[in-house]
Amino acid sequence: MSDVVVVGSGVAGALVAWKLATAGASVTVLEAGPRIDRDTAVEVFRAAPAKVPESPYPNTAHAPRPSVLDIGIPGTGYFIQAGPDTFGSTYERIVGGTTWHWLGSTPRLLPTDFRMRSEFGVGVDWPIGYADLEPWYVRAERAMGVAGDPAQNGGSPRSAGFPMEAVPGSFLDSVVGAAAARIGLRVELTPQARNTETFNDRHHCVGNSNCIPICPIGAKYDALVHLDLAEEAGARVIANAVAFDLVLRADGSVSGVRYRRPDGSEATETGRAVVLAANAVETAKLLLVSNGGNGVANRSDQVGRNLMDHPIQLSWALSAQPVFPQRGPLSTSGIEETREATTRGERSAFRVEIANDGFRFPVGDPTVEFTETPDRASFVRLREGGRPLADRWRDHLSREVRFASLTEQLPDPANRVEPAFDQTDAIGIPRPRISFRVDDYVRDGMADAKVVHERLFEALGAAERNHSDIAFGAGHLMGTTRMGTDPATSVLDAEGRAHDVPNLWMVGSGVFPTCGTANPTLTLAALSLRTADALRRTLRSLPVA
Amino acid sequence: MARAERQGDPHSAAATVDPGVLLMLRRRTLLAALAGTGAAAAVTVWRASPAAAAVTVDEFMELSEVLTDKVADLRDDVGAQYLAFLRADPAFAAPLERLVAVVVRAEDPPRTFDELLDTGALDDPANAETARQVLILWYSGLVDGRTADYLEALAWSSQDFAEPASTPLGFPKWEDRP
Ligand SMILES: Cc1cc2nc3c(=O)[nH]c(=O)nc-3n(C[C@H](O)[C@H](O)[C@H](O)COP(=O)(O)OP(=O)(O)OC[C@H]3O[C@@H](n4cnc5c(N)ncnc54)[C@H](O)[C@@H]3O)c2cc1C
Repeated sequence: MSDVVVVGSGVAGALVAWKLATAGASVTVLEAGPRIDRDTAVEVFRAAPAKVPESPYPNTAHAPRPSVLDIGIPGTGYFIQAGPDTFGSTYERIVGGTTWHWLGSTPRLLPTDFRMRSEFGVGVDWPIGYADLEPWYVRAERAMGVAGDPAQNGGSPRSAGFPMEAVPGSFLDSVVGAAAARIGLRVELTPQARNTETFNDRHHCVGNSNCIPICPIGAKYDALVHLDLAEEAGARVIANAVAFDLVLRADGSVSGVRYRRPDGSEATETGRAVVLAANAVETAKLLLVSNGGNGVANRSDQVGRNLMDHPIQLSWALSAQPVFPQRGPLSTSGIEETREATTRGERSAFRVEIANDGFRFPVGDPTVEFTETPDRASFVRLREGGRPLADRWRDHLSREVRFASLTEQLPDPANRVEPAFDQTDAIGIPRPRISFRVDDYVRDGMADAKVVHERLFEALGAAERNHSDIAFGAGHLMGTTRMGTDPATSVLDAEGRAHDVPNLWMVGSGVFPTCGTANPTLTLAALSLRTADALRRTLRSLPVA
Repeated sequence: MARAERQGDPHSAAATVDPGVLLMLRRRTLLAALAGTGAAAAVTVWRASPAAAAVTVDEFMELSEVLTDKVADLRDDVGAQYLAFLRADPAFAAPLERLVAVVVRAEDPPRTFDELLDTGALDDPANAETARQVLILWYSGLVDGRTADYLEALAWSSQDFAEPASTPLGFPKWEDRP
């Protein structure tokens, strides 16, 4: 029996657990996956033949998860893809969640992102505005440790500076920045949750150039920071505890959470309040499987719907002049002004991420460029070797540039997560069935992004230009339990409490009504702190379990 | 170029990947599982050569140094894995012996890749393909769908401007032109 049961130990759950535990509440965190040892995970990464985001981490039988190695292959993997398009984003199910392998970019949303309906006639408005969230952005930046340059605000006004000095831009950024300037575009430093000094008891970044999939020294923020602090403050974290049912009282409030262990045994953790923080796919699934499969907090029929990602336009080429990638944080700069595109409302805006990781995203780790696949030859040519081979490789590797533009998907009720009651995992829990369509609003935005990438390549004098026609997942799961003022069209109120269940709260980017073009984690962290504060204030008034 | 971080090879995630999966991945990813198979198919069958002593690790290392022009250090224990792989594949086993005959066992052998080219030994397609295969192994660090060596794979260690992913470069060196 606890005051608060938190489901999920990712950044959203960890921040809530930390805030409430330090405020004196008894907190239990149920986490589906196992604990991870960083050094072991680094060795597992090095030994893995495919260096993908999931490489360092286990895919357990009791807490399975998607992987980019199988996500697009019909009939395989964890997701059941109902189409018409593939949902291309993945996540981790381990203690600490997906920030183990996130990149760490932390732009804020723009003020207009909260008012898509009023400003542009599409999507919905948020129940809160930028000004409401701004002080929480400041708190989230301080908690996570965001390094940034306050003079480059990316269009999001700031009431305070950053807790750390900006991460220096890469040499590549300076080359791309000069090229961008020639075509009238401005490259800005990206705020990022990456230490430029000792912060949160963690070392500053020394350029291990491996933020995805694992920072070997923890210079990049991950949820362990606040999970550890929560545990120090008395929170209990139960690993390998897969929540599968929310227990309701006769009055419709929630009394606790049932969970299953790897051996199939079950237990119930009761609490005065329950906070779901299992990410937009798993939280929605948990709500829908609960109550005998009738669902919880779903009077609006919006649970699981409006699933959004930031579908990516991916482009890569060889710059005319060397840019020397593969050094430092995997991205240090971006183009932000395209996020305020004047065509918004007709077609998606986008944020251009400028990458320092060469072709790792489209092709793979540099080592992989030497292997052969059915549609790609090895870098090594016949009768080539020795010093000339090393020189040609240097010429190639030093000129690799890659852009990824994140588009803004609108909420569509048909894009949804449902439990596949007929297709369960190894411990009998339904897997997620995902219906997903990348519509013309996004496709047109991707086309615009491609034009910008092409102009940048032109300005760089780039050769071998490639533009993917696949809408890649950004790893950003948003929208399945959205906030709103009207209980008929939203799941949560403006503070993250379920309209239908007075002591049930949700955190994570599932609460976003629309998704803008900012990578979501800073925003979800700010909202999590805000929700934790609201929950703390009401906790005493809630009946004990 | 020895790296302080290097440790024993953990094997838990060194799973191989199903080639069928790879076909579907198109452009999506990577992968070394197939290294060499396409090449092997293209190799013409070679007439049986006169019996020769099996290639030793030392000989393979010497051949590898000539093929790579020693652009970076090569480790014997890694080379032994590559040698075992090549010897197990009929498309590579015999040509490998012929290359060793030219590069290691001959008198006045070639000392660089270009000198090897000049001997004409790579005019033979199977020999050329096998030489290419040796380079693929050293540069990728991958053999038979497994990682033999990541941190000292030549894709990284042949280049001085970058360090292998997961090893430190130093703050904030990425800012500067190397
Ligand atoms: C490759 C990649 C790069 C990314 N880069 C960025 C970036 O640069 N910037 C950015 O803002 N965002 C980025 N993201 C997104 C970021 O990782 C997520 O926004 C963030 O991790 C979400 O936090 P969360 O706590 O809501 O969910 P998660 O971190 O996914 O944590 C959810 C937790 O809930 C647990 N859980 C799930 N089901 C259950 C259950 N039934 N019972 C108990 N526990 C359960 C999971 O095991 C997990 O630990 C990236 C994502 C990916 C994949």
